[in-house]
This record gives sequence, structure tokens and C-alpha cells, in this order.
Amino acid sequence: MNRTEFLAALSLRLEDLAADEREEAVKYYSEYLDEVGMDGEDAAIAELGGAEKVSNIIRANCGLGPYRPADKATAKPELTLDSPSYSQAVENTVQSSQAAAQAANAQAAAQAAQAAQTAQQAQKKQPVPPTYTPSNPAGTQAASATAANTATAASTAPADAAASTSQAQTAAPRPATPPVYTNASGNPFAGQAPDARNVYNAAGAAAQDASAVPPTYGAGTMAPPTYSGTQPRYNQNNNRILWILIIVASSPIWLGLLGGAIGLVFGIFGTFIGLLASGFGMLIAGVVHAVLAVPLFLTYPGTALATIGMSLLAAGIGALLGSGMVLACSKVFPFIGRMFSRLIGWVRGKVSGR
Amino acid sequence: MAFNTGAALLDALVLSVVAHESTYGYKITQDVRSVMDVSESTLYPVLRRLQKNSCLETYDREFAGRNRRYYSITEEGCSQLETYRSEWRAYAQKVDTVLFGGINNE
Repeated sequence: MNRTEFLAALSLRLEDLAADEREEAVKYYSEYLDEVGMDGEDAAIAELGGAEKVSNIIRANCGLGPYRPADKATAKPELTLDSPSYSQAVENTVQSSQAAAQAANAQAAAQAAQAAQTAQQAQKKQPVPPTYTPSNPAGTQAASATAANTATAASTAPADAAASTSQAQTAAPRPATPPVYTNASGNPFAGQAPDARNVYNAAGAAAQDASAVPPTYGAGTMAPPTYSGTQPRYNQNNNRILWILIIVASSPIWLGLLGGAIGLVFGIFGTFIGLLASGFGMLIAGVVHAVLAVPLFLTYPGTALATIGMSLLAAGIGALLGSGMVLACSKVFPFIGRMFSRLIGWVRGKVSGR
Repeated sequence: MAFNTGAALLDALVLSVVAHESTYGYKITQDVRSVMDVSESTLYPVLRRLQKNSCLETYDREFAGRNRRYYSITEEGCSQLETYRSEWRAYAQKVDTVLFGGINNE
């Protein structure tokens, strides 16, 4: 058994160990044999007891039995030195995480149902959605301005939400708790222009935080205005219909653009074809005239010479133009085709994909 | 050697060799084998285990155009070695007492 055979056999016999564990061992013995030198290699390998003994000792220290290639298919791979039951631990972890995921799903569904119910009840009880309760007299002045803003926000919120469907969709399964708008400065909206969109979005964003950590307000801080209206919920279908509506409504714009684009494509196409045709026409006409002018030599040599010269010049220009156009067409047309199909694909993706 | 030697003594000897001077696997093997009759192939798992227990650490140095992995002792390895040394001293004294006690007392 020479050095190469020894190291290969060792690596094979440690194949069910973790890769770094195996590489470490092979590296160690490779360096070990480097120290021995070429002459002593065979003797040193014999001293070590060959790959079988070396590998069995390493395996025993990793909690493994001797290497048996026959049952490697059925044997559970032991991956690390320290944890012989590593693979089982992984299995358990996977199972428990799956169970946890299922539980989480069930809980989320229950929460969503509860949220819908709560929203309905809230609507029955309170015809005016926004409520706010100042617990601190000091905050009253600022809050009076806030109340107006919040009311505006609430009344415009549903209409605004319709426009920002993508945001509403991402937050579709609303948590059971109604969104609570919290302002870090403790002075919400004071001196601000009432921007319904901002207020609504801020409430939506805060709702996600609020679902994780319920907000607490210490004594003396102003109670923030709470928004407890019905939550507009959008599903895939609504979104798709909306997209179709947008496409239909905006058809005067995009039909014009599309028509323009198609016209442009055909215009370019026509220009190229025209230039190509005229190029070949000039080539053919030049050659024909040059040939026809040859008999004129007998009668009017001067005219014949001039005609042949002009004809050959025309033929040259024609040939240049024709070949140039062929080259241009081979580059330009595939490019236009690609752009066009990409545009079509993009529009189709918008209609059916989302 | 007539006396059986345990894994703890092997660990202690390896730590002692490396504590004296950071050195490489082949050298450690030879040094340990000069006092203890263990097979060459026993040393690698010992070094690996001590490394995993952070008693030893390794670093690579180039030597004669190839790589040599050196082992050096850590703080943890040093304190482990001190424990082994004091235990060995106590053990050796007890053995000496029994083994040579009869002669001294006669």
C-alpha cells in the first residue's frame, strides 16, 4: 500500500463522517507521511497499521463502529464527533418545527376569523368609527385638533385604501386588535396638514407592531386616538378585477401608445425594405446600363465611356447600400421582435399573474 | 512496557510535549512513543479530541515547500495539564509508598 492508496482508502473508510472531520484526518496523515519522507513511507504505513486500523481508531473516537460498506445504505449517517444522535436530533427538530408551523397556521386562521367578527361588531356598535379618549387635561388642546384629523382620516380611509390595494393585500389577515396609531412625540398630528393617506398607512403599519407588543401608556401620557373602523380586506380575485378595470379604463392611453409603437415598428421595417430595394435596384440598373453602353463605343465613344462610368458608379453605390441594409436588417429586426414580445409578456403578466 | 497506561496519561503526555514547545503531529507522536508504548495511529484522535476540547489549537507553517500543522497549548490546556500533573504526583506517591514501602519499613 503506497501513500496515495493509503490516503484514498482512508478517505473512503471515513466517508460517513462529516466532511471536515474526514478532510482533517486525511490532511493529518498526508502531512505525517511528508515528515517520514519518500523512503520510509511504506514502512510508516505498515507501522500505522494500514488504512483499516487508522480509520477504525478514528471512527471509534467518533462513536462509530468499524467501516462496513455493505450497510452504509441503511446506516444512519453520524455527522459529528460530539453528538452520535445528530441525525435523529435533526429529524426531531424538523418534525417539531413542522408541528409548530401547523399550530401557527391554525392560530392565524382563528385570529383572522375573530378579527372579522370584531370588526363587524364594532361597526354595529359605533356608527362613527374613530374614538379617542384624552386621559390628561394637558393634552386636550392638542387632541382637539387631532380629533378632526382622525375623523377625516377615517372617512377617507376606505376610499384611499381602494387605491392602495397592494398595501392592503400584504396586510390582509389583520390581527384581532384594531390598529392603534402611536406617535413617539406624544403629540399626534398637531400642526400637521391632515393627510388621509399617511394617517391610514401609519395606522396599518402600527397595527403589525401592536400585534407583537401591545402598546402600554403610562399615567400622565396622552392617550392616543384609536381607529377602530372596519378593515377593508382584499383577496386575489378583487385584485385581479381591479387590474383589468385599470387596463380597460386606461385603454385610450395605452391603445394610442401601442398603436404608435406598432406604427413605428412597421415604419422602420418599411424604411429598411425600401432602402434595400433601392440598393439592389441601383445595382441592377447600373450593371444593365454598363452592358448596354458597350455597343455605343462604335458610334459615340465619349458618351459610351461616360455612361459606363456613371453606371458602374451607380452599381457600386447600390451594392454598398444593399449589403449594408442586409446587415442592418439582420441586427435590427430580431431586436425589435424581442422588445415587442417582452412588452406583450409584461402586459400579460400584469393581467393574469398577480 | 509492562504497565498498562490509560487515556488520561496519554492526554497528559501530549499536553506536556506541546506545552514544552509548539510542534507538529509526527514529532508529538515520536516524543510520546519514546516514553509510552502506543501505536502511531492512536495519536491523531487524541490530538483531535484535545483540539475540540480547546486544550490545543493549531496553526499552519510552511516547511520545505509543504505545509506543517503545528499544535500549541491553550490556557485551558495549561490548566488541564496542571491538574494532570498534580494527580499524577499523588498517584505516583501512593504507588511508590505501596511498591517500595515494604522495603523501607524492613
